[in-house]
Amino acid sequence: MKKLSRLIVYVALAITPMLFSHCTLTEDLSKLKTSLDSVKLVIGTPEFKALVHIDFVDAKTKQYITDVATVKIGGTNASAVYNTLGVSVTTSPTMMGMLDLIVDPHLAATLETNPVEFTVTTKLDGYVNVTQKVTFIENKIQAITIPLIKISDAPSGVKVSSNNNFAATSTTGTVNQTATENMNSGAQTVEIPQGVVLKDASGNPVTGTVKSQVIFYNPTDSAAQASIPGGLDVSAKQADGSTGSIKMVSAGMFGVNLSTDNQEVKTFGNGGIKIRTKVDPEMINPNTGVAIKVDEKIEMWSKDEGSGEWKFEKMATVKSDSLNGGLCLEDTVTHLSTWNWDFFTNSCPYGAKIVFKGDNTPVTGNVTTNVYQWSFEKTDIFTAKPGDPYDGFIQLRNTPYNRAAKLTFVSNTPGVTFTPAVLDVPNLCSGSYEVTINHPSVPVANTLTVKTDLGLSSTSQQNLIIKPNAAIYLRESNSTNAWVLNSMTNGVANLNIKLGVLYDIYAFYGNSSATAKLRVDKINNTLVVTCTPTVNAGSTSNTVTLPPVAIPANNTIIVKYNIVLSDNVFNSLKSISK
Amino acid sequence: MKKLIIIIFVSLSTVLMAQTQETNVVTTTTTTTAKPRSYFGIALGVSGSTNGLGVNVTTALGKSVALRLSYEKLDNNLIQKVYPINNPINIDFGGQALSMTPSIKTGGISAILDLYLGKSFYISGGAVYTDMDLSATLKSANPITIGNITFTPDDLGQFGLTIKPEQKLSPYAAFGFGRNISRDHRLCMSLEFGAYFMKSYVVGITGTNMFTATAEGNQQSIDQLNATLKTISWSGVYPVIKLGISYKIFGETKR
Repeated sequence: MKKLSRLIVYVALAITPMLFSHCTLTEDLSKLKTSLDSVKLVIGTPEFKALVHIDFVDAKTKQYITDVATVKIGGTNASAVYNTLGVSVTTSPTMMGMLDLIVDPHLAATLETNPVEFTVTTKLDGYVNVTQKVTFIENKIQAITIPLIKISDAPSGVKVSSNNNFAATSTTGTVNQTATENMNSGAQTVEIPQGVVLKDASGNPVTGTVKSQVIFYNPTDSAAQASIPGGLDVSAKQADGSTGSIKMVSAGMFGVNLSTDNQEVKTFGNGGIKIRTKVDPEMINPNTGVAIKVDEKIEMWSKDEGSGEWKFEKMATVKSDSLNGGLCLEDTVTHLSTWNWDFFTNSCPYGAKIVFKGDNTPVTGNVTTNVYQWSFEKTDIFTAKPGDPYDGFIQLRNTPYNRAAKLTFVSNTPGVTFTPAVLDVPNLCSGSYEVTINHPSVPVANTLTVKTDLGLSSTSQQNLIIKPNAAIYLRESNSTNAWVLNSMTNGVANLNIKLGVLYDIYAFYGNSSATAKLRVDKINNTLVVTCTPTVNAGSTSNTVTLPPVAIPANNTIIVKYNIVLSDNVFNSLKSISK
Repeated sequence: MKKLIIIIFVSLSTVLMAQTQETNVVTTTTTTTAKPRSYFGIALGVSGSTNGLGVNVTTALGKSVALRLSYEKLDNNLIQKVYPINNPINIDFGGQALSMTPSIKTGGISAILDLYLGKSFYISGGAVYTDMDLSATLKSANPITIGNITFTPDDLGQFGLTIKPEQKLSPYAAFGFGRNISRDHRLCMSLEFGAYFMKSYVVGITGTNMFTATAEGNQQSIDQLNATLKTISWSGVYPVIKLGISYKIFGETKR
């Protein structure tokens, strides 16, 4: 009985709270369902880190060439090159004077041991064709600028001479009469002696009236040297047959094109063409450190326009110029390409490493390498994000072998500085150096960081959101400044802008592009965002002015772009193979 | 459900029958000695429960009080041995074929005080340091071709969903039938119903490669879900139904 009483007490104690409570299961499940409804499947697009951004600029004005040029992809690993939508490309048009190409991401992980090399050959009417080699040795974005020489308006130091009636050949391709092209008052000449046979790439005789286009790059003119297609930090097959990175110092460079209306001259029989240039007697031989002299030896190189690679041809000798006085270089060449008399030094493909320190906010900047006692200056852009496995450091590439240099760091992010801003490197080929990124303690006046957050969904699949990974470009509207590259990661990009200034935003997707405009105004101590988003270039949508927001302490505002696409467009972005 | 009821019924019957038998024996033996006996004893036991398979050591501190130290474990490997299931499981989410690999891990170490209100009924209280970690990883079931580049499911990455306790050290309460250490014999059984309270369930989400965005893009929603879970009274309650058997290795028995 006692036990029963005790049991009743326990049961009563257990039942009492039940009487004063009620079942909330239905309400609880409803609350959970509401929370779960906001969970969506969000997927990024593939992040193509091995991306090359190419700016096509006029060699003289340095402005973007907005006429559409045709870019042909060639070279060893051309099949590994795709546009930013992952579509294989063999040719591609330029857009706004730019082009983005990516390397197969499956090769990205092994780039350090298996570099990917390809060439881009740019053709545009009125400009000199250019072939540039692109090499990826690391899984990082790289930006290159290809200057194009406008035939009718070449930069200083670049002489372009065209002659539609340069020479005539017989039915066997034999030149009837010696033809000579004089440039710069006879300082440079190109001569085809009588009796030389002109042949095309297949060895067939080139017959009829021969047109010429000769370009000479003055070695003493820095603008001319900066216009040399592909630059002078190059990959070259050297005298011993090995291929390596070298830095050339030109003593004279010719580009010669000969053609008829339907044939191009590539080789010669029964001799060749003579090219000749006067040499500045004050030119310093970088190997001896003193002025060049008669009988000194200098390498002669030719460029394979297909691979973009330079090849050692012969040792040339500096001669006394019997025609003009002073010194000259003169040789007969038996095939047509770009020819260059050059001193050279080997380069380090993997040079000194710069490790960035500081918080992990990404910043962009430039590093300029100036080599002491050597005419070498090179500027590279970089994105720095301390601690990041990709952007936490940069490694100097193709720098002169075992040379001391000064590195100057300049930020493209407002208010950001580097410590040290100037770094002395005793040997460009080795060493690791730390550079600290300093963010401003107070926001830079009239500047703002706009954190864009872009999501794409479709009308029928609103639970699936695509957050793109892409490179987007920003610059002030109506300006001719260079576009500033910003990486968008999973839909998020940080854009550094000035208040009250209208900006253009530009992005590539495949062979198409998208543009948008953005402006943030400071009105009555609030920030007002005005944007004009577009989906396809050329079709603008309405300008949207967002409600004003208070100025945030971190000087960063977040702008969310939720774009609902039609199902057709959305599905084209996600092609599922079943 | 029927099966569960039958199992519970059979277990309960077995436990009570065992205890009834023990009671009878006690009745017959108590008359044979006049000296007060010591109830101290130590038993080793094994158990199977919703918290896993376990081993325990129970020390009787008196006639009605015992301290039980247990270790229990339940994970995918164990489940696959007992009840093989297809893994991964293909599901459809927003038109996307996903392959889901669930992972279950629970168990933990516990210290529980049993208070016997009769020979075959007890209430328990204590604490458990739980190993609970329920998760599922999801990845695309198919390769995806973007342009001319085909990405394998591994290239695309995966995202993971986890459910963990807000606090790993959790209070435990239960009642049970039978005993975890026999008072008068070597062998005994118990059936226990209880729960431990982990404060709340905490849902987490992770992602790699292309699914990194899943984690980042849903963080706000997951935070909201966790806030909602904290308002739900039964969130964090982990129910326990446990069947145990133990053998007294030290201590007096009545013959």
